Amino acid sequence: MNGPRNSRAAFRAPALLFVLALLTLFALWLESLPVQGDWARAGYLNYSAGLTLLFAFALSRLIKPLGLPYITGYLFAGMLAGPYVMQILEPDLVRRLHIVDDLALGIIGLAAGASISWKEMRRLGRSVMLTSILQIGFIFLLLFSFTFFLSFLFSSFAGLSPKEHLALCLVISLLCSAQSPSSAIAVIDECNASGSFTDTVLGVTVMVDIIVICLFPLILSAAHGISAPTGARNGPDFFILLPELGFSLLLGALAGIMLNALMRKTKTDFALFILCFAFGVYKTSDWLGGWSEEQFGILMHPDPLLICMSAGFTVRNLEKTSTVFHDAVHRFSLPVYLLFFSLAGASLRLDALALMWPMAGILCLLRATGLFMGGTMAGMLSNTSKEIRRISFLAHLSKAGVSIGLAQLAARSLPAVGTLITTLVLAVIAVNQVIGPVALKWVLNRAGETEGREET
Amino acid sequence: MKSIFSLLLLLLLAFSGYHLTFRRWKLPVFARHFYLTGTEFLFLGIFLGEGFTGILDSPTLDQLAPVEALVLGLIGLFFGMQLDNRKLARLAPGLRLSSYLTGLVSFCAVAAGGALVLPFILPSAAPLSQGVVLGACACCSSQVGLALARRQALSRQSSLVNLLRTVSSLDGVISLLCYGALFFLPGAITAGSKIAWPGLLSLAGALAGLLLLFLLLIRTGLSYSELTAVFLGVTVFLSGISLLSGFSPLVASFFLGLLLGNTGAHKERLFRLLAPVEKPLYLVLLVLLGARFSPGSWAVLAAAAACFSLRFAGKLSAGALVHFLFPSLRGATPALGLGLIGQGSLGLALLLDFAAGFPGDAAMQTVSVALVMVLLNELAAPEALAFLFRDKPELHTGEDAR
Repeated sequence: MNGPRNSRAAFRAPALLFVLALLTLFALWLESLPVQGDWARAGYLNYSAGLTLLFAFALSRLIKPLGLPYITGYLFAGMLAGPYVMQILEPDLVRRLHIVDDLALGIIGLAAGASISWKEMRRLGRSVMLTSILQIGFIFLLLFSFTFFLSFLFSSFAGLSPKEHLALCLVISLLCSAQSPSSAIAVIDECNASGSFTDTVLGVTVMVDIIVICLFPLILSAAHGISAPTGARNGPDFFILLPELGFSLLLGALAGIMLNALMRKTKTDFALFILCFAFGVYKTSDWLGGWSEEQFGILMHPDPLLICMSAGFTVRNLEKTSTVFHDAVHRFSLPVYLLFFSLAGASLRLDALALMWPMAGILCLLRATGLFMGGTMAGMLSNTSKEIRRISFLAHLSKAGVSIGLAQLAARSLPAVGTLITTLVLAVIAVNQVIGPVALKWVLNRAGETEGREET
Repeated sequence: MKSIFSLLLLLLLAFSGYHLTFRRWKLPVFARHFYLTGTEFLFLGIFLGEGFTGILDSPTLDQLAPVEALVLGLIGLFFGMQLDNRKLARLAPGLRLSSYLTGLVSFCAVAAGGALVLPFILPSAAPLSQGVVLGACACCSSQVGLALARRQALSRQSSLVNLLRTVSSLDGVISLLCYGALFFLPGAITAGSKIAWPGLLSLAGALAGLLLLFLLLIRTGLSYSELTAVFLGVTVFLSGISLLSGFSPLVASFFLGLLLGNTGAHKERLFRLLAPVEKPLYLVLLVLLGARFSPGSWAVLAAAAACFSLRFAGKLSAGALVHFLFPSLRGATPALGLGLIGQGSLGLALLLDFAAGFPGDAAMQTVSVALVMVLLNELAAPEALAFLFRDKPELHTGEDAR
């Protein structure tokens, strides 16, 4: 009975190696092709995207027997195809393909929202909130203490004035607290994990990002006030933030109700519309941000990830059509994840890591310590088992999207320390993004919430 | 930003169109035919194009080139995969030959006629390539008219219906081959993007490599979502190679589809994967093509009328020739060509491929002429089909579409 399956499994590794070799040949051939005119440029884009997608797919399946999650394979494939190794995905091309990011984040948001049950959240709400606050608090405390008091050990901080130094420490400490819901959701999805621990991990990952987004304008205005000679503050950003979050949640809920109604009407083949929706939310938010700034001088930018999560949450908890929705969201999710994480891999600043690795390494260790302390204390307060308390911090190592976006905003606001902020944050992301998914998969397995449930 | 909104709009239209079009609604006779065949999406494209609202203007269409190539690649693959050799071998040789012959005669009528007549009507820069493209487009016929007819009526004329269905399924092969040949005709293309032999060899190698790659991956036992990812990857990759080699993604994908459809037992899974996106793909194609319509002058209308007449004559002659050469073929009547007037959508895909691959006035002009010809065909097709089945009044599509 198991014959064909076993022969397939035996065939898999050599076949995948051969596929990788073939793709490498294609990549080498690409170097010899002239790219002239719009038609050829479009061809180059498609060629690179297709090649990366297939490369990431083959690599991720090849490393699976090592116990590594697929997302690690996607990231490595992106790094290999990226500007620092094979140079198939050059920075300009990565920028042009960032259209995939919007699509992927939309789908990730919908999938995340759809995986949260209102009943479960009511049960886990206290624990989630407690863990999030404690993790952010400990990370901020540890990182700030280190960067402020011991940074003389590193030459990169040498030229800064005391005020600039303080501003840098505040921003870096907050940005390093952020996590990566997209990576967490991708790994949870891949492992088909479910249970209280999985729900808590997902809830904490999302909640931490929400809190960091809320705190960011505060910290940034403080940093700006400290480092700028005039003491000017970014007041309006903070006052617009809460309505912005509320507006995003409301928009998402309305969109969820509409999606639900539409699904009842159409019933089948909803996947294309989900793609359209995910993509549309991102673009409409961007447009709304630009429009509000142009018309009223206020940057009212609803958060698209929150909108999608809220929409997914609403659809999930309206229950009747949740299976159709789940199927539609997952139908195209794999190719989108493949490209998204490969591009994320290609965007990792390996040069930044090479430059700042000692500092980045220490920050990563301190961040992990902060996560451990926060997780342990929250676990003690909410009576979680000792085993879970001990390992839960490993589920939160990943960090990406939010940190990059906020680091870029901070760099624009604080030009004197902007380069240092982005380089350090990107270096920390590079380390954590490689380790994080592997650690999360291990923890989920250890918590017994993936046993025998992985996708075949 | 505009291109992104345009893409969004296209996806939304594709989704809504998928759920609204091709249904048997009670609409006024004239409107019904347009709504049932999806022709309204062509008008929508014209409305969104540069000639009217300008939402899908030339720069936006240029930015959407990768999406166009993907759409064309998927259409080519889907068509190629449908040509299963084992199924084709079960058809009577006369039936197969008559299908190819019908396509070839229609192609020759419009291509030769167009190349000779068009220079007198339009200030054309490339009559040969225009003729070939119009001929290849004209060669495709559609089954929509039959699909909209009542089943009882069809069962009474089953031999003729089968013949029409087979012809309209296979004439696309001639269309694609003739169009593919355009890339090798010296002096046929004006934009200087003629394919070079090294490019073709590379493309052939790439096709073989991709097939091997696909088969290897398939053999590793893929889940449904993994199959989607691999299939999309291969399609995007192939469309990229074709564009880089200066060749048509539609034709290259057709060959890969042909190879895939005839190798391995995974075909049914691939069909299940592609079937739900087929109609939305065609609707996106219609909108993108409509956006490239440029009203131009009365000369365009005159040229379209000429092409329509040539096609009509070509289809009628082809039908008569089939009846003459294969008298024992079941269902063949001298008026067979009347059942083939409806325009096949593969011809429209080919037009988009041409417009995207060879930008310039000649291509725009060809697309505009072809689109008017398509509309004339769509107007004439129901009446011609009704005339063919005149002894069976219940088959009239205008009356029985519901």
